[in-house]
Amino acid sequence: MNFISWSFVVLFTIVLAARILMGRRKTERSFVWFTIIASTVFVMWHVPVYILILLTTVTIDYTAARIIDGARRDWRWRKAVLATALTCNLLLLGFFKYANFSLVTIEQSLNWLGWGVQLPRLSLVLPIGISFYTFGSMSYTIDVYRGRLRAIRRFQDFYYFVTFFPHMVAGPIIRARQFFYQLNRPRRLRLLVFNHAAFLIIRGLFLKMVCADNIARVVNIYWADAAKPQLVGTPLQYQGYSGELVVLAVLFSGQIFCDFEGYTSIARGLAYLLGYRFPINFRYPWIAGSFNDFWQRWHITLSSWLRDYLYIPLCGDLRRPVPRARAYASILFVMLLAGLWHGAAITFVCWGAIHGLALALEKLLGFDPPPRRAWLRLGWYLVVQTVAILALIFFRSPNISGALGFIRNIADMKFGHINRDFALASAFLIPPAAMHLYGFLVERAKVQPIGRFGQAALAGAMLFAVVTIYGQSSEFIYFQF
Amino acid sequence: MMTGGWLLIPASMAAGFRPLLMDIEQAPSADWYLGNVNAQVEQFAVYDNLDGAAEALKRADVLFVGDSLILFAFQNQQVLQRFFSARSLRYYFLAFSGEADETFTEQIIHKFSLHPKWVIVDADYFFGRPPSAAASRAMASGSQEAWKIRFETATSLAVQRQIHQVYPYMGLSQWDVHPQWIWYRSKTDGSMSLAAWRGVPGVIPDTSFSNLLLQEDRNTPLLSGEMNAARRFKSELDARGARLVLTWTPPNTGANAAHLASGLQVPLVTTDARGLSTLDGQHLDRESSARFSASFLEGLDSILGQAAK
Repeated sequence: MNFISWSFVVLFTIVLAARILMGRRKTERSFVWFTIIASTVFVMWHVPVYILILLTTVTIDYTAARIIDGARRDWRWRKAVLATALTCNLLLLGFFKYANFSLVTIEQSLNWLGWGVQLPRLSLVLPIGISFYTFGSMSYTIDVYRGRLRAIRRFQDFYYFVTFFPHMVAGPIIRARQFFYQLNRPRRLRLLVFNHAAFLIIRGLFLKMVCADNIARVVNIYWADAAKPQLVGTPLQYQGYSGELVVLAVLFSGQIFCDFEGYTSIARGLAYLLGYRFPINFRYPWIAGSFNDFWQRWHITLSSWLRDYLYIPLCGDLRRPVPRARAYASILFVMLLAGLWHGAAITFVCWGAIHGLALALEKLLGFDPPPRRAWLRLGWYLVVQTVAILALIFFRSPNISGALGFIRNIADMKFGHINRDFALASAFLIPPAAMHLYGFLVERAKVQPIGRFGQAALAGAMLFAVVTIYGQSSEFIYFQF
Repeated sequence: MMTGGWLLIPASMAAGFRPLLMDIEQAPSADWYLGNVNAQVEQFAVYDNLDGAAEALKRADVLFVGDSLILFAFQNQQVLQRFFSARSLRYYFLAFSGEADETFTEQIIHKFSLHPKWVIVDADYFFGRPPSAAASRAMASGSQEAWKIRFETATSLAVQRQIHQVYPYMGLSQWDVHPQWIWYRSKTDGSMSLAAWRGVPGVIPDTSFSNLLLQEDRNTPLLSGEMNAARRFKSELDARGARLVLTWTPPNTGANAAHLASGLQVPLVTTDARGLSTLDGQHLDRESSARFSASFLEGLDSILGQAAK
């Protein structure tokens, strides 16, 4: 179920009514059960039978954590159970997400070797949110194994954590320890809470429906032709196409930010209304001065997950010095997996590889934290943002040749006037850009964070924009992951 | 305080904004359902027989098959009803917005075990094409998906209609140059009734429909697989005792249809209506539709007459 759908409006209205009528403290068992049922309906709305996959994941991790927690001194047994649980989770994820990708890759490799085979394809629909809930569920088992968390006793509480609908489909990736402590903490729905939650939801709707969707209209139209040599046969062929493609790449950068941050903001607002706090997922990524900084601002819950559950196990304790080669290899490996996590396509792997190489290079150059000299800092900032946008060209393109064609057209350096569609769409970059500028000033204590009255006025303006300037698309980009 | 922000809404209302676009007409009667918004709904409605949208289809003797062009070309329900009821035949438009193709049509024929007497195909861009996105989704998903899409579309439309009575729509899609359509479909015969549209009116050059051009274009190469797909479709109809008739609708030239008709040895209904005008450069307006369908029915009458002999 999509947050931007009338089915969801109906579902959430019912859940909110339940919160007001029987979940005043949000810890009432009847309300918890009600929300569990609502979350199940939310999951089953997509492909009903896929609830079984989710139930399998939940059962595996719940059981594994109970066993691990019960065998405190038997490290070998604990390790075996953890390995089994992780393998099962990854097999499930791998089957649904990467089966066809693997078949294509094997087929292409064999054909390249001259074997001329044709492998069958599986007709699979990706279970909604599988990448997100698998990571959330796995982190719980790992945390119990590491002794950072005790196994939860009640199955329904764990099921509630995994399926809780505000975060289930596209994050933010919540960890069990960020959720469980809130389970029994009463939180009343006061006007202050309502206002803040409403602000988050309206902000998310504005970013998604106004900014992302209006930009998407132009991006979708022009990206399809962007890889054609010199854009011959497209509406842009006689114009300064290189400049327009630069704008197109920037527009996509804006679209994906508004789309994903919009989703996260709505998710946080919904969860807040139901009495739960979710971590932030984006912190003004366009002002990141280094690649490391970028990953502490972009999809924060994923990057911190990868750091804690992949990078640290590969590199060991970060407080101790790590051999450079090992650190670089680990960064690259983690970022390749981050790319693959997004989707089963070589373009996502390239996106991850670009970020991995950039992070390693930055470490090698000693540019993290960013250099002190202002001109060098500004120069590195421009490099970081340019590379992030360049990587997104791979992220958005249907294949490698498409991405390379796009970049080749930019490299032609044909600059001229920008057509009307691009100019109009660029106007929708102004709100996120202003948001980043304000965030930049707040971080440097140049201005105060926006106050309640300011939030109120802003929410009113954004709501007005939502009902009058919404775009036509409603699918979130990260739903496909 | 934040609640004060909601005051901006009545303030903007007081500023005197007026509706811009969403002037959607109501359905003519309860017999009509919302068929097309963003090139979908009707595919699901028919494939999953939502609210009996496909009941009349099961009883139809004559099926009109094609895309939106054929729906616009036969907008005059009364003329068709008169023509077919005089011959004791029931007709139905098995045509959809977006791309039309034989796969989706065959699936529907199989699903409802249809046994029409005649199947009239708008054949210029039909055989050997991939199904539209909506058709593929309809075939792949169950009735739950159909219900969801219908619910989402109908609710969105109803809400947008109300909102834009007060607030104008100012999003980028109003700058779209390609035409947009919202229409209803009849449960009785599958015909289309426009609810709202936007496009730049145009005229169709007379040469498009001249027999001369038709003759010249007979040499136009067909898409690879087009003839094979048409043959498969014909043998499927033969097995069901149905007869295939091909035609074409403006602004297509009829080149492919003619080529396929001669290859399949099936009748081709040719029309010779001139001076046709369109709502958007593609789809006939009401007046042109009336002239086109009159010319078509003349041609069809002779084919039906020959078959009766």
